Amino acid sequence: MGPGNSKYAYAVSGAHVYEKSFFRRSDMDKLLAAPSYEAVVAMLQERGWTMPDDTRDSGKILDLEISRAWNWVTASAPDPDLFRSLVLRNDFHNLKAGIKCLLSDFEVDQEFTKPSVIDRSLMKEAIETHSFDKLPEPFSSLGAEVYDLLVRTGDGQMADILIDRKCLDEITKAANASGVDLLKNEMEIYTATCNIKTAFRAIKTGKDRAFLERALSDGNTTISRDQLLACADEEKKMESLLSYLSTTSYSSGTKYLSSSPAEYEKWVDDQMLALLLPTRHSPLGPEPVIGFYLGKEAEIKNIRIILAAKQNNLPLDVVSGRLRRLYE
Amino acid sequence: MNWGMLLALLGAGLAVTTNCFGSSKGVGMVAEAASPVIAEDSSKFGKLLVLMLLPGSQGLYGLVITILSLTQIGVLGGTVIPNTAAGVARGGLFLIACLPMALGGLASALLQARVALTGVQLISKRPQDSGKAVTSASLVELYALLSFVSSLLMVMSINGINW
Repeated sequence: MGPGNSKYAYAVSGAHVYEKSFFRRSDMDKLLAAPSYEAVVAMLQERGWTMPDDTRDSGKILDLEISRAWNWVTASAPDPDLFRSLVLRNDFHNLKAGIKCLLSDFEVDQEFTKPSVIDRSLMKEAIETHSFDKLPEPFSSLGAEVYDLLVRTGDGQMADILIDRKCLDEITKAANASGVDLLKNEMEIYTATCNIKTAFRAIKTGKDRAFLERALSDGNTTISRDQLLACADEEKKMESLLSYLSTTSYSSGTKYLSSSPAEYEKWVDDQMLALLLPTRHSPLGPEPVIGFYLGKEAEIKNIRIILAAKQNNLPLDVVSGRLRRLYE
Repeated sequence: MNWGMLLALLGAGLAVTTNCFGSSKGVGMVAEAASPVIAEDSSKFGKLLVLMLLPGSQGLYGLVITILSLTQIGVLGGTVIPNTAAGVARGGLFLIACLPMALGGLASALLQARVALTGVQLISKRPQDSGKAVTSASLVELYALLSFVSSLLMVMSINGINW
């Protein structure tokens, strides 16, 4: 029981209390069986979810709920900075979406995602006024570079690559800096599977090694960046990539890459969630708090799928197969 | 400098300091963990109070050993330890006698707090199992008691040793 871990007594206990309101698999089945979108919203409200004025916008409902969970983490954890790698990708998304919206004459913040490390009004102001130096590094230099690139060339794909690569690099850096093994392992799965997806798509669309070198992030321990790059040099690129992936710990998910991207995403989410379960009942330490937040994210992904299904009258059996593993 | 007295006082001081440190840390952690549970349902306070108090007992055991030691070394009564070679040895014996309580009490308070923390989570989810939570945490108390009895017997018998 290290002195650092004992600081988490309140946060861990609070997380366990909060988790009691999480939806379980049986609750998900009830939501799925609900007759309409409005009925699902009413069930969410019964569970204590805060509702926006306009409940027809499911994005707002989900944004409010995940923000509530994140605010709870930052208010309860003794060192909130430890958890920033969990939401860093939202900041990079906001930067990317904001610049693209600005150049397309849309409201800069209309595609912003919550929660984020950088205040969204600061991000909006920096993008609107092109004063990226108001943002902390690496967002200031990256924002200026991407904005300049889009204005000069309009190359959206290159802009995506620059931001996505930096995002993965920063997530790895933040997770390693936290010193929490669970966080490092979670973010390792996330960044490695993103790299695998990028390599697969690049090879499928005939991109060369130079493209992959720009797109793939560094620092993964479970896959080799050099091996992924080497696949682009082979004559049978795709066979070479799949053959390499079959030797990694991600071999069981590789089959979904070619069959269904949605299945692959679900497989990644399930892998990340499975990693949380062994430390779920730890009485101290940041692990149960990480589990709480990622568990909430998994729940929200499922509710998003269910709400979308209800709005679009999708068949229940298809939707049910897409639901993620829950933190239970 | 009366080294014998110094060693005896060091032992007496350690017995209470380490135990009070462990107990305050333990009680503080369990109370912190209990507060979100009480905020959710204040009727659980009674069940949680027992768990909050359990790691506090070591501080009391340490205090008893300290007071007993002080009554044996001439601070609160008894014979003052002489400033001789035999006095230094006697002071050393008091220091050794206090160590089981000082170390055993500290470790058991922190470990008991850890068990009590899991008990808080158990009561939060299944209040009907509060007895199991308290029993589990109480098991660790046995080792605090063993440390206490060991130190007590040693402190009581040192003055009876013929030099």
